[in-house]
Amino acid sequence: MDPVVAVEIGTTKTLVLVGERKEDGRVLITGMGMAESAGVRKGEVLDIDSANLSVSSAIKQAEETSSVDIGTVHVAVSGGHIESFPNRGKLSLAGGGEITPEDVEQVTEIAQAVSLAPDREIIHTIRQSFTIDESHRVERPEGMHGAQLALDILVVHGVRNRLMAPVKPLKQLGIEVLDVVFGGLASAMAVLTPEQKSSGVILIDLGGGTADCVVYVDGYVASAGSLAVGGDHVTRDIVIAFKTSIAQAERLKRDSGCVRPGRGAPQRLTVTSDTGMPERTVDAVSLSAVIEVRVEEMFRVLRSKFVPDALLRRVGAGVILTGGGARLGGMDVVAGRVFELPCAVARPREVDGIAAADAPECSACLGLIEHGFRDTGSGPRSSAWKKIFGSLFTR
Amino acid sequence: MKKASLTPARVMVAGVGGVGCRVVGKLRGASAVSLRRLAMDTDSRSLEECGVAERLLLGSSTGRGAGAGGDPVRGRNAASETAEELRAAFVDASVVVCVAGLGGGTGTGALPVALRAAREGGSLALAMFTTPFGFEGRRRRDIALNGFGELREHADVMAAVSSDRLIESVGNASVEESFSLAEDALSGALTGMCSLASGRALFGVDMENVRRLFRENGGLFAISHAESSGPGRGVAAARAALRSPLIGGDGLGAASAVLVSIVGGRDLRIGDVSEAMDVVAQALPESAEMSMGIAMDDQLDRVAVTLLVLEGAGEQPQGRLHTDEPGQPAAAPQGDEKPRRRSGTKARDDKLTADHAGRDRFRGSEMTTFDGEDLDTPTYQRKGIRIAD
Repeated sequence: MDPVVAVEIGTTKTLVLVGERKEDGRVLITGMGMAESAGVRKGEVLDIDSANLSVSSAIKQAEETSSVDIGTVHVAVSGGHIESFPNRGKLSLAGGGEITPEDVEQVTEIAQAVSLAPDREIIHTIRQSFTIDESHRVERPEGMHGAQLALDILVVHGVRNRLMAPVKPLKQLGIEVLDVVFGGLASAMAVLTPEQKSSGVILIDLGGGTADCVVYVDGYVASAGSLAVGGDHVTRDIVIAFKTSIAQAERLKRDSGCVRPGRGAPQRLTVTSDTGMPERTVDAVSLSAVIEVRVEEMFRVLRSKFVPDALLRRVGAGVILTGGGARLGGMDVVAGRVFELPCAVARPREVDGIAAADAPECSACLGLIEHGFRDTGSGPRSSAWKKIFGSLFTR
Repeated sequence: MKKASLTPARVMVAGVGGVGCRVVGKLRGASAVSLRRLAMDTDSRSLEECGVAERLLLGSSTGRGAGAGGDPVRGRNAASETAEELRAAFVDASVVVCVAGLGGGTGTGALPVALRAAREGGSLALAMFTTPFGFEGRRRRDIALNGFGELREHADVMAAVSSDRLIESVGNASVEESFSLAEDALSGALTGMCSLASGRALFGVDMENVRRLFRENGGLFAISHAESSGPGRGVAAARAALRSPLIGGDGLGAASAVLVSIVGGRDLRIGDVSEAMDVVAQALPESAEMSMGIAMDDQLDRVAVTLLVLEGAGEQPQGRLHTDEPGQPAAAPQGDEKPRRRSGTKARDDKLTADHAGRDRFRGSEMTTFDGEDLDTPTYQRKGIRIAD
C-alpha cells in the first residue's frame, strides 16, 4: 500500500509525517519533517509565500527521512472560522417496506443539503445516527422496516478562502492535496479510544494560535469547532504584563505553568537575559495568575461555544487535552475545574517508527495518517468526503 | 496589489527634516541622477541648502519655514498640513524611501506622516533613519523612542544607523564629525540600495521578500556600508562592511537575515561579486536568509558593499532601538556584547516593545471576540488583575 503523508501548517510549526502500513496492519511512521511556521497567525495561513518556505523545508526533510517522493498529501486545517451544526434529513418510506441501501443514500443526500453563507464551504458531513419512525435510533437501518427514516449529521464548515490558504503553498510545490480535515477531528482519531467515544468525551487540541474542540457522545461526533485563542495569546499576555521579549515570555510560560506556585516554591522567576540586559525576576504568583486567567477563560469560551449543557451531561469519559499547549503545567487542573469533569493530557496512541512523532504536537498529523489509510477503502463515508472535496480542492 | 519590486520599480527618495535632506542631497553616483529625489522640511533654509531640486516646505502656512523647534508635534502637524502635496509627490512611485534623523522635530514628527502618505498611494514605504547620539541628551532620545514606536505602524521596512554604535569606531571624533559620519553612513547605504533601483541592476532584490522578512521578524535592519578599490576590492569591501560596529562589529552571528547589495562600475567583474558574496556568506549563520542584488553604476570607480542585517529573529524584543544613556562613556568596550539600551530607558522602551510585539503577533488576523469581548486583549487586563513588581 502506498505511503500516506500528513501535513499540518500550524501557527507555531509546520509538520509533515509519512506513514506506511506494515503487513500486520499497523502503521509505521517512516518520515518526519518539521519547520518553524511563517506567515501563519491564529491557525490560518495569511502569507502564502512565507508559508511556502516552511512547507517546502518540512516536506524536504520528510522526503529525506522516509525516502518517499511526496506527491500527494492529506492536510489538517484549523482556524476560528471553523464551526459545526447538527442537521437532520428525513425520508418517507413508501408502504413501510424494508429499508434499502438506496434509501440510506437518499436520506444522506437530504441531510447533506444544507445552505451556508456564500463564503462558506462544508469541510465534513459526519454521520451521527439514523432514527426510524422518530423513535428507534439505529446505526445500520438497512433491512429494517419503517414509514420514515431520519439521519442526523454534523456539518463542519469554514470560510472557503481560509480553507484554501494552506492548499496553495502545497500546490505551488506541485503536491496534490487529497483532502482537508479539521485538525480537531484528526487529533481525535489519533488520541481517543472507541470506549471514550462511546462514553462521551471532550477532546481539546491546544495549538499555538487556536484551540480545536471535538465532543463525542454515544460514539459519534456531536460538536466540533475551533476557537482562535492559543498558546500565542498566553505568550503575548506575558510579554505585555512583564515587558519581556517573546522568547523570554515563552520560557517564563514553560517555567511557570498556569497553577499558582505552592508553598516552598520559588516566589520569583528569573527572566532569562538574552539581550545583554541585566537579569531580572518577576513575581511568580502574578505570572501564574496572568496565565491562569487566560487559560481558564479559553476553556470557558470553549465550553460556551461547543459544549452546551445538554451535551456536557452526556460526557462520561472527561476531558482529554492534546496539542503542544497541553504541555503547559496545570492545564488539566484548570480544564477540569471549568468543565467540572476529570481531565487528562493524552499523547497519540500506538506510534511505531520515528519516536519523536509520539508527542502531543503530532496528534493531528498522526490522525490524518490513520484517516488516510482508512480513506483509501471505498466506504460510503469516503466517497462523500471525496465528493465534497472534489469541488473544492482539485481545481 | 502593491507593485514592490526594486527593479525596475519607480523609486523615490524623500529626505525628511534636516538630516534627511542632507543625506538625500549627498546621494552620489548614477542614482543621484536617475532617481527622483524630494527634500521636505519645515525649515526653508535647510531646504535651500540641501541641493535637491524637488523641495517641499512642510506647514508653510502655519510655520512659515521657521522649522519645528525640536518639537515632533509641530513636525507632525506641519506634515499633516502638507499631506495632500505629499501624496501627489508620491503618486507615481512604487517604492518610497523616506530618510530622516530620529530625535529632531521634523525628522521624528513628519516621517510617519510621509510614510503613511506613501502607503496610502499604494507605494511600499521604507524608512531609513539615524538614531540620536547619547551626547545629544535624554530629550532627543525620548523623542526618538516615541517616534520609533509610531514608525512601526507606517513603515513596511525600517533600517537604522545607530549613532551610538557608530561612535564606537570613531572614538574621539568631534561633535560635528560625528553627525557627519552618521549622515555618511546613511547616505552610503542609501546609495547602495538605490543603485539596485536605478535601472542598472543586474540582479534585483525582491522588495516584497524584504518586506516579508521584516514583517515576520518585526525587528529593525541595521545598516553597514563599505567601499574599496584596487585588487581584491570585493573581498576588502565585504570584510569592511562586516566589521562595521553598525551591525555589531563582530560579524553576522546573530543575524536572521541579510540583504546584500554590491555595486560596481563598468569594470565590475564576476570575481569581485563572487568573492564578496563568499565573505558575507561565510560570516552568516546557517539559519539566516540571504538576499542579494548587484548593480552597475557608471559613475562609480570602486566596489561598494551594503549590508542590511536583521538580527536575532524572535529572540529579541521587537522594535528595539540602540540608544545610549547620555553622559555615559559612549565608546565603552563591550566585548561580544552588542550595545543595548540601558536601564534608564528601560521602562519606557519596554512598554513600546511590549505593545508592538503584541500587536505584531496577530497582525493581519481577525480579532477574536466572544460575547462582545475582545479576547486578544490580555485577560488579566480585562479582569483588572494587578501585576506585583
